[in-house]
Amino acid sequence: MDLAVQYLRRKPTLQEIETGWDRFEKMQDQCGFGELGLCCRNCLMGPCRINPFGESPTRGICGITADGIVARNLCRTIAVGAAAHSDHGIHIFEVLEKISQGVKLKYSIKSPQKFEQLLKKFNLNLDFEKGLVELLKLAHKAFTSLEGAMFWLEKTLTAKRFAKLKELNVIPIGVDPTIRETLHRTHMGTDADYKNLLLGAIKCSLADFLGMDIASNLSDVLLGIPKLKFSISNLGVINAKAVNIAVHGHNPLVSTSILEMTPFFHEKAKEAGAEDGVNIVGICCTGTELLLRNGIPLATNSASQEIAVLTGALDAMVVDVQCIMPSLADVCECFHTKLITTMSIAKIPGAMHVEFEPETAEETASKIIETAIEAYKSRNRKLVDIPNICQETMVGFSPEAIFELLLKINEKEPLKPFIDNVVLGKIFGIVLFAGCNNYKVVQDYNFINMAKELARHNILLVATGCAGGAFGKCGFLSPSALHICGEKLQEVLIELGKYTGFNRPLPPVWHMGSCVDNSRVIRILSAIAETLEVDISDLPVAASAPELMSEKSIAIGTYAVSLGVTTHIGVTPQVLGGREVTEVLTNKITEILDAKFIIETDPFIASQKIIEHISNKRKKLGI
Amino acid sequence: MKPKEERKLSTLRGMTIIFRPKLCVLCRSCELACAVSKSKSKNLFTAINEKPIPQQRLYITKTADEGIVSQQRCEHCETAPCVAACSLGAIERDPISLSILIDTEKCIACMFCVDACEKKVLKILKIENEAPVVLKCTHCVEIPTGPECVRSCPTKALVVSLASKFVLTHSND
Repeated sequence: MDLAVQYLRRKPTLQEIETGWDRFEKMQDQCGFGELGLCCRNCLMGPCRINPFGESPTRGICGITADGIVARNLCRTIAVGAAAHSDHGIHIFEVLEKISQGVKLKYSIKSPQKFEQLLKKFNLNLDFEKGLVELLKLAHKAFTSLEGAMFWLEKTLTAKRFAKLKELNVIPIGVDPTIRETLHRTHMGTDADYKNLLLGAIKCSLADFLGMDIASNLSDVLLGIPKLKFSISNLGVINAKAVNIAVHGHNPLVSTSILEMTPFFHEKAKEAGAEDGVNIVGICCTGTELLLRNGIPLATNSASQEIAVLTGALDAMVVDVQCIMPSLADVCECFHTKLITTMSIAKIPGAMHVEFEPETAEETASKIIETAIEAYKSRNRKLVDIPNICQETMVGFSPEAIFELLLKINEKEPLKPFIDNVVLGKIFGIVLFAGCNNYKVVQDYNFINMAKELARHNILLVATGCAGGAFGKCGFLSPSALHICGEKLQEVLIELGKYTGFNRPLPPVWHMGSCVDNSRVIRILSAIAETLEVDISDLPVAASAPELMSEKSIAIGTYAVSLGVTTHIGVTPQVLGGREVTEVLTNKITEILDAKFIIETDPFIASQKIIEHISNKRKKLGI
Repeated sequence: MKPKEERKLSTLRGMTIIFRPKLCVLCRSCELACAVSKSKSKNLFTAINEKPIPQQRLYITKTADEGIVSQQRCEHCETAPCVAACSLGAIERDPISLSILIDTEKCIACMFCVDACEKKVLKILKIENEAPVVLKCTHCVEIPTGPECVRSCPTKALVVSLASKFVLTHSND
């Protein structure tokens, strides 16, 4: 549990301000039909609901069964998740495209290393300018056509997994057409076979992976590859003596341009009375992007986004897309804080809108910072109360940073020392923590307890998105949290730490990026699987989204399973009303994908199940 | 249900459940909550897979022509024909809660009460390889927080009331 959040939430003078927790309480009991996924609103004959206790109605008006409704709803959810990730990718793509066309922008290619790596991966032996054009053409093809998608996935996934997916006929026909196709099949009177719908869901989730992989790779090219670095997390990073700007959302373009413009405004902020100039802090995945690339401190993760405003010391909250609660406008109203929306597709009633365009990024950023400084002047100092809690955070575990580290140990076969440790049992397995916060769970409770439980069993933990935020806030991203690991894993982390140049052990949880960077984890797992000449599903690995909330996280979970990573879900998903669908997802799916979903709301039982799963995989590998 | 002597005196002694049709949006949350409250696990996600499958004891219906919403549920009548019809004394007014309850140990599901009910709200549940069971609203007397259908109603169309108080406070509804 996050003490800083608890402190502000329970502060008597702030009780009047409504937060997500209050609204969650008011929303109880939530509709049972919705919770079971048995409600269909896809046509105007409806809404239809199926009685889960076997009484009538047992079918929708069109005759669809409970399993059909549940599978159709799941398809739609995944399509929305895939759309969100790939649209994020398109925003980055557009900036790069403008650069390749020679439009004068403030953005430039920050990581030629990553760029060359991609050119090599896709066999493009071209110079810089032509290479960029060709790479973008390829990305565009992957977004829009079957061959493009096929090519990109073939180069990204292990040969065995790719063959398996091809055999199942679930290779997406490009990101955009797959989303279109998925939405089409859920139209009234189209696909009614839950098995076929679930295959469609798998296909769409792979489109999500594709869109996300492009987004993550192109972001790295444009904004740089994260490198190992230290920073700090939790609400204590908000500075009472500075003009505080929180960046919130998912798209790093806006926040990066604000970050680059801040040095020019320190003087102006000081003139306004802020001794420490302008202070940028991150929230949610925009925060994570800046945390990993630029070491910008992270204030908090998704469930407590409103709480950051309650400190009374935020002068502006700049938001872009995804996971931004509309209620922020009301909370900001109670203080001097300016809520600033920046994307044309994401406006909030009560917020100020400053439209972001790549061409005018500099002016937009300046305008935003000036607004914040102006707001600072009307800050009520009596209302400022910043919990003095912040944790040291070691971040930047991109695949490149990890390889760089391993190359220092073994130049010829960088993965060998790592794999050797896995074989020896010093690293019992790897578990990816991903996903959001959900008010159905005490914030971060599942993350923290599962991490403790798994690390104790020498399982190496990696995290992305708000999972990373949760671990940052409680200090698990710090080398000083080494005590939560088992002795064998401690040895490995201490040994690896000697090569970082920081002269500190590595932390028990490796923060790999925002939620769009989950593909980074798949890249590492693929590399390990290729080295061992096995499939990803043979590795002693698992994923867990113990507090998931968004449609994107459901898409991520589904592709993780599709790619062979057994995935735990800690919040009951809205599919249990379809008995057959539930049976397939939690059991039968193993037959075709060699991975499945584990649905378990108790973090301790879930940890046991994951450990059991990893032990089984180790036994099968004979280690 | 706990034996009578173990149960504490309900604060809702002599309660009635009032249905206010104008507020009902036909979401049927009460029907689900009712079935869950009669399940073994008391949890929606597991209740739907129990055998025998838990049954709801109240139904919300809307007439096709006039669109009048009504609720069918045992009304725990003041002079209850079902009580009179039972020759075994299995269905009686509970002295603690003043609700009419079935003693499942005594009941042999002879259907006399089902036939006697003037509101036609009692139902028989046939279970494979087991004795059938009479389904009847129990006012959730075993649950300290009161009837589940009332708690689950998002629009407060269902309210618990002690009859005399209701007349005074809700006479305009």
